[in-house]
Amino acid sequence: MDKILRIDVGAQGGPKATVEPVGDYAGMGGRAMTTMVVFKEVPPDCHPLGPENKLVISPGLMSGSAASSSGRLSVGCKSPLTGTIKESNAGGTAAQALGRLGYAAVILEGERQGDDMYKVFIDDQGVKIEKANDLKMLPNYDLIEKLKPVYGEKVSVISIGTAGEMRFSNSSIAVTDPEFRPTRHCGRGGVGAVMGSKGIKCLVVDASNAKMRQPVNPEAFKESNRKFVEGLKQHAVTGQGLPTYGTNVLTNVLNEAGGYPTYNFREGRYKHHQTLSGELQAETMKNREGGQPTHGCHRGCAIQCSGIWTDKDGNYMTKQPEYETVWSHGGNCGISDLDAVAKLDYLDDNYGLDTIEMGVTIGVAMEAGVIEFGDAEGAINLVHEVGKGTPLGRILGAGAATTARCYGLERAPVVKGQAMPAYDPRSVKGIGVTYATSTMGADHTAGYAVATNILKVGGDVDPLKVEGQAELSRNLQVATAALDATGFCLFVAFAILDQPETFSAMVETINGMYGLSMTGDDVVALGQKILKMEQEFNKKAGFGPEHDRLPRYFSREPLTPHNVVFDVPSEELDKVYNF
Amino acid sequence: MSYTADFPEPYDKALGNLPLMLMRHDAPELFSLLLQGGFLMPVPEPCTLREFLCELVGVCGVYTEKTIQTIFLDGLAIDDLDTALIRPGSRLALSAAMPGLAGATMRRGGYYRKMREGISQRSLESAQDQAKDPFRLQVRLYNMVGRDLAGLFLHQGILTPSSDFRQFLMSQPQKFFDHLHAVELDGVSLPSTQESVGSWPLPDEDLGLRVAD
Repeated sequence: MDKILRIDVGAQGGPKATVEPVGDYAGMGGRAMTTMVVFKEVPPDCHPLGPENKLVISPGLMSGSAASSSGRLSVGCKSPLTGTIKESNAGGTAAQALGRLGYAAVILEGERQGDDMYKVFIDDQGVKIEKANDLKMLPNYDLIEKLKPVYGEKVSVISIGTAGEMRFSNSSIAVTDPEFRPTRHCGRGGVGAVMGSKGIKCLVVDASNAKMRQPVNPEAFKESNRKFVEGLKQHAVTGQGLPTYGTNVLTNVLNEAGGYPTYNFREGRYKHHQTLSGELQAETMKNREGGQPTHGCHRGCAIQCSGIWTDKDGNYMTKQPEYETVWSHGGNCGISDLDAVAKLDYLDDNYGLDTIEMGVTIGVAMEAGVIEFGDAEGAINLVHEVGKGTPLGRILGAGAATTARCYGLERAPVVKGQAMPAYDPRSVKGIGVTYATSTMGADHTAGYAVATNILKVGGDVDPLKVEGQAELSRNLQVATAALDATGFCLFVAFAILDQPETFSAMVETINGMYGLSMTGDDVVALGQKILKMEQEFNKKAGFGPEHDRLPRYFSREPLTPHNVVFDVPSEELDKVYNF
Repeated sequence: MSYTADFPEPYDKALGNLPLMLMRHDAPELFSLLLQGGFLMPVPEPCTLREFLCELVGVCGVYTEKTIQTIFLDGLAIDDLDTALIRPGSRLALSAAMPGLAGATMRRGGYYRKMREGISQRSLESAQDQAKDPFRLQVRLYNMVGRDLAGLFLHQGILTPSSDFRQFLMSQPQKFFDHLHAVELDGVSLPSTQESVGSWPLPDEDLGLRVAD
């Protein structure tokens, strides 16, 4: 990956593509690349939908190689939802395709001229950009159907739905999966709106004539990748739990912990949790024609945590909804029907919406009395309102914080304008620290369970002491930032957390690919570098420690069943960035 | 898990003197959706979690240490099987290791357990301090643990509301009944086909259920 594709959307006569050497960005990939480009090239005080903002699309460092589970694609920009720097990533096939074609990044920049929409076609012969007004306001699935006869089903598509075209703060960027469906989404932070503001409807990437990226040290790469896959397969989470049940295996357990936010974060348990569980989801998929509980979102993934959800008659409905989606549209809204959740998931994917933000927004709307908690049909109608851009839909499409403001509610479960994911921070306070302090707004993936015990980021932490939540969160955020640069899926975290030999195999796979002799310390240094750039950007964009807080009501309203509040002191939160 | 005997004698042979259903079924893991919903199990007296698992259920050693990685007792995350006390009114949930930071945080003795210090079990009460009376423990088995231990728990016998049991049976596909070879309710044989489930004379309240192949 030695080149960068820049598309100036404001060029005379329509968007113009320029390919340049990777230059100063050499060695960067994924989140490291998106963050560095935004940090260096985007004025922090710009409007996210203005000409100064840029959309950076970057495959991870290992994408396009034979390394297992390395198909993550990062998208970065200044976020329309949070006003902070943003990196949002997804699986699917596009990262591998871009990687194989040698692109370390695609950067959309400049000021859109007129109202035309464009499509970008990238293959081994170069780049073509064409006017595509026939694709205007097509939802993602309809778009894919229209592209299929032109490009076949072997290409990868990166696209926006109607939400992105209307530049809603909750709008995602879709990536096609191996079945050529737009099911994988860079969901968080409204990145689709930035793509929409650049007038680009989709990028079609055809890597069918491009070979897999070859490692500098093939023998070392092959051997370490073998050990890495072995480690993933033998671990209870990556080898059994995720392939069998998917991420929704968490529903029962979070509910048992009293940390499953229900009825817009009013309660910590949902009485109908069994009807939404991963166990039921997996059984249902096994028993329905066409259903598939174990499936990879991209080729070469050893974990296979995804799946395919069909209706009672065996018709495709959507991919297996993730835990976050089942929670946000299900338990958080008092909806206990997996088929209704699947329908909502499909609509989110089709219109191009982040399922977490959309579900939380509907929860806020339910609290405001727009519809009743538990009203599945009402929720489906609300998503249609967003997708069609009705006046109500435009409010909801702006996210949970805006919706709460419009209805005069304090109870908006957001940090820096971004909706909280499916773990109540009053029960799992350490996650609350990450929600509060992440450079991205409330984000459960910003501080993941990434081998901080092995990396010793910032030294050893005594897990028995009550103090030190900030230190743990910081270490996790540093390690996660580094992993987000590699293109490896975050789910490798569990195997590398528990099995030092699998962590070593992962690092050695990177070393074999690039001919490096990187150590754990280098991984930490990379993570710290990324976080520092992000924090510096946010500071210049007007964010200080006072923004690294949860909404006050999380400290005031006890959460049942444990009657706990979020009581991590502000001084502790302020220590997160002491490095 | 392997069995040591055909219908071994459980602690409470009569399963609370409830109507007793015996099923001959050779794929007990297919009951796991029933077990995730919760059931009751007779316990002779308060005991530690390890004693309950090892002595009453028969789950000991490697499986306990390696696979049962996430445990909640009364909604509190458990780190130590030897100090966690099962007593009247207790609610127990057993699960394998979970994904995500939340999963790692909830894990027994895990590196990130500090992140859930507000919901970790702290009580170090002793079983000695409890009245030695029998009681019924509420149990939920989740994910791989539900599949793996279904046979053992069902072999010992569980108590479940009839309505839950009927609802569970009615939702099962033909595959479930392909593994069902015989059914008895209080010693009376019942037809074991999918179509016949609606006509089974299940009691209005709870029933005892034991399953063996």
